[in-house]
This record gives sequence, C-alpha cells and structure tokens, in this order.
Amino acid sequence: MIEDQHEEKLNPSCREFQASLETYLEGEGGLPAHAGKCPACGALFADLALIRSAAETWPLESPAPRVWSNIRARLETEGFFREKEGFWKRWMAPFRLFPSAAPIGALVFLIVFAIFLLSPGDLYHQSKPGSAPALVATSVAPATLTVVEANLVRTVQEMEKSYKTREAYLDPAAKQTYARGLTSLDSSIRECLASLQAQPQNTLARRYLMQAYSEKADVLASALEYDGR
Amino acid sequence: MSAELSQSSGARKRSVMRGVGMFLLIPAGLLIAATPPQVEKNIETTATPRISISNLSGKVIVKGWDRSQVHVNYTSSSPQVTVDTEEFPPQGPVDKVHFTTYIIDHSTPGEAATVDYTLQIPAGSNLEIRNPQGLVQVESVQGDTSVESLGGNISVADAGGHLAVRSVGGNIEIIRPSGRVEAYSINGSLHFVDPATSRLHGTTTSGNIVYEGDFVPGGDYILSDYSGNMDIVCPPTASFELNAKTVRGKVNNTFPLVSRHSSAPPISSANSLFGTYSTGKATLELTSFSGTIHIRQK
Repeated sequence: MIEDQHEEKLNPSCREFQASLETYLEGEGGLPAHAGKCPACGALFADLALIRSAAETWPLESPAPRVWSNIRARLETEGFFREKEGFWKRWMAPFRLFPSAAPIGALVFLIVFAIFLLSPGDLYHQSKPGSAPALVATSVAPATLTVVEANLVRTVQEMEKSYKTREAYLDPAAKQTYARGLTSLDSSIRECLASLQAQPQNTLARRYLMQAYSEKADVLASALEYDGR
Repeated sequence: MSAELSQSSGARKRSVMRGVGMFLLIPAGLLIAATPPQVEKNIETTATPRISISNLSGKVIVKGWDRSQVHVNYTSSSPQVTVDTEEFPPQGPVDKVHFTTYIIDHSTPGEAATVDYTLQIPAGSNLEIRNPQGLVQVESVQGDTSVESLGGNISVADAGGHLAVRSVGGNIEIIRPSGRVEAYSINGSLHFVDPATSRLHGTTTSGNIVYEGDFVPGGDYILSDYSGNMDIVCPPTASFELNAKTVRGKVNNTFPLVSRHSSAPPISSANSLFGTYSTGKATLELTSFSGTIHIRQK
C-alpha cells in the first residue's frame, strides 16, 4: 500500500535511488543516505537485500531433462543450431536443394551412388581386377568392382565396424529389426556377387548389388544415430 | 437392554462396512494410480500448418478434417514418459506444431516408453511422423506427408500431397494416393491400392509388392524388389508400356502385349518382358532379382 502510493508520487531523489539500486545491491557503494530518509525506499532496499542474501543460500537445482529438451528445441527453431535429423531426411536433403549439415560421409555415398547410376558403362571400364575388398561372404570371391564401387563397399565396411561396437547398446526390438534388415541385405549382396562372378556384364545384377550396398549404408547410418527415435 | 443390543449391533455393522470400504478403496486407489496419463487438447491453427510427431513407441493415428484446428489425444504408458507440445507462433493461429515424446527418467525400460497418439489435423497440413516402433495410420491429409518407421507398419489412405514412406522392417500400405509416392522398406511388404497418382516409386528387399488398380495416362510407375514377389493387378481397360526385368526370377503376364514400334511380338525371355498394352499411356518399370513378377487382369 505504502509502495503503491509511493509509486504514484516518486520524487527525483527516489527515482535516482531506484535507478541505482542494482549498483547498491551488488555491494558497490555503501547504503545510500536516501534509504535512511525515505521509508518506502528504505523498505524496498531492505526487501531486495534480504532476497539477495537468501538467494545465495539456495541449493542449485538441476532442471529436469525436459526443460533442456525444450530449450534445445527452441534454440533449434531460432536457428542457433540444427537438431540431428533422421537418416532418411538427411539423405533426401540434397534433393531438396538446401545445403544442410548432413555428414560428409553420407553425402559422399550419395554422390558415389549417383555417379554409378548415371554412368555405369564408363565406370565399368575403369575397373581394376582384384581391387574389391573382402566382402560380407568370404566364401564368395568378390566380383570385379569399379574404383568408385570399391570405395562405397569399403565405407560400408567401416560403418559396419562402428555398428558392431554400438549394437550392444541398442534396445532389443531395434536391434532385432536392424539385424533382420542387415541379414537380408547381406544375403542380397552375396547373391549379386555370385551372379556377377558368373556374368560380369549383367548390369541389372550390378545395379542390385550397388543398391544393396546403398541400402545397407542407409540402415547402418540409421542404426548408428538411433537414439530411440 | 434390547435397545443397547440393537445399538451395539448397528455399531458393529458400521465398523464392518468401514472395513470393507477401506478394503475396496485400496485397490481402487491402486487402479487409479495405474491408469495411464491421458491428455486431450485443441490447438487453433492455420489451414495449412506443419505438424510433426516424433514418438518412441506406440500407435500414431492421424486423420485430416475440414477445421483449422488440431485435436490431439495422447496416452502415455508411464508417468516417466511425457509429451512436449511446441506451437509456433506462440500467439494467434499456429503454423507449426511439434509433438515430441520424452523419457523423463532414463532408467525407464524402452518397452515402457509407449505413447499412443490420435490426432485430427487440418486436411491441408504438411505432416511428418517418426515412430520407430509402432503402427502409423494416416488418412485424408492433402499436404506433403513423410512417415519414417523402424519396425512398425505404416498405412496411409487418401493422401493428396507428396508422400514419402520409409521403414526398415515394417509393411507399408498406401491407399488411393493422388500425389507423388515414394515407399521404401527392407523387410516389409508394399501394398498399393487404387493409386490415382502419376508418379509412384516403391522398393523393398525381401518383402512382396502388390499393386491393385489402374494407371494414370502419362504416369511413371517404378517398382523394385529383390527376393519377394510382385503382383500387379489392373483392369482390362488399363493402358501401359511394360518393362519387366529380373536377374534370376520370372515374369508372368496375362495381358496381350505388342511391341511398341512394330507389329512384332514383344521382346521376351525367361526373365524379362518388354511390350505395350493398349496405347501404352503409362510407363511401368518392374524389376526383381529373384522374385516372380505377375501382371494380371482384375
């Protein structure tokens, strides 16, 4: 009540005092004389000083995870950073013509695969016999692959190594789904390699082989960034 | 004396009733505590908002309606699992809504982190759903729709915009789409029913593909599987140019095809078939590695 009345008729000394309150509360300077003379300003100063000293004794609480999640989401929407996107979305990002923060590895995959699809004939002639690394089935001799294809295969193998170290931490349902998908793709790769071994000129088998590797890269990348969603 | 006896008997009855009441209250309280938290809310939106749902596990059912409003109802399996709703802009009709499922206590087992969503959204919405484990059903959304799943089945009906559906292990069913369609799965099957789209691309590795319906004149239909079978069932009035290829599979066709460029018979081998049916208005490209491709009349 006193403060309400005081607000209505602040005199210049009160205004000056209130404008400098922050400095006084930070301990820079002693108690101003005005606080002793004006009851309302004195009460205000005393209240704020009490709150300040009490706040120093309050324990530091860690906010709940959802608070951080909200802050993160808000920062993301305001463009301070980008939240990790789903794998499919990142794959599709180049098609949306927006430069995104997609990992270079994923982009390289895309480019490599696109080059392969666009000029399979030319690339085929660049093939170096024996350059393909050992693949999923050691019992099947690897078919002759182009340099580009061999690089794709190597990268998939590296991803698979990373996946093996992470696999144990996946929840059982996700692990089972990924395992089933990878088994199907490995089986496809083995069969395609066998077909290519028998018919090196079979472009459809080659297309299926590279599609299987590309899809395997998709699945592995999805598994590597899987965090429950 | 008899009054005292009657009073004493009444007191005993009341005491027994209280005891029974308490006995019933305990399980009732436990039942209430065990009832999953359910939230229902309405959000006023523009006619074409962007809506995203990022779930962990559970059902997601979305239906388009003619109101500029989102009505959401979600049920969480545990108090340790919650949903954050973010709306942009904070004032006025909302243009973006994000629903995100969070685990508050990370010691909560994965199978308990289930939230079931049911939403009605403006028909013009652009929709994005990520639901790794659990069913997704979308109906009558005319904006662009993207659905990603790891192991859950996906069903989308009457989508009007660009539809991108992907799953590692789930089956995909797409009914009466009229916008561009892209559907990919590794182990799941693809089922297309009465598509009214002129651009459709479906790929699966070990699943089957079933296409039931006609083709839009000038449309491109690309379907590919690896080891699964493919079944194309279309009406006798269909008009398409067929390019069906397999590496080790078979092609079975019941349509009388002709070569496009002459009256010569269509090019055919044990595992490939090229030819035109009727005036060849749509283009049909079908490939399989080791599955059988059936093309037959409805």
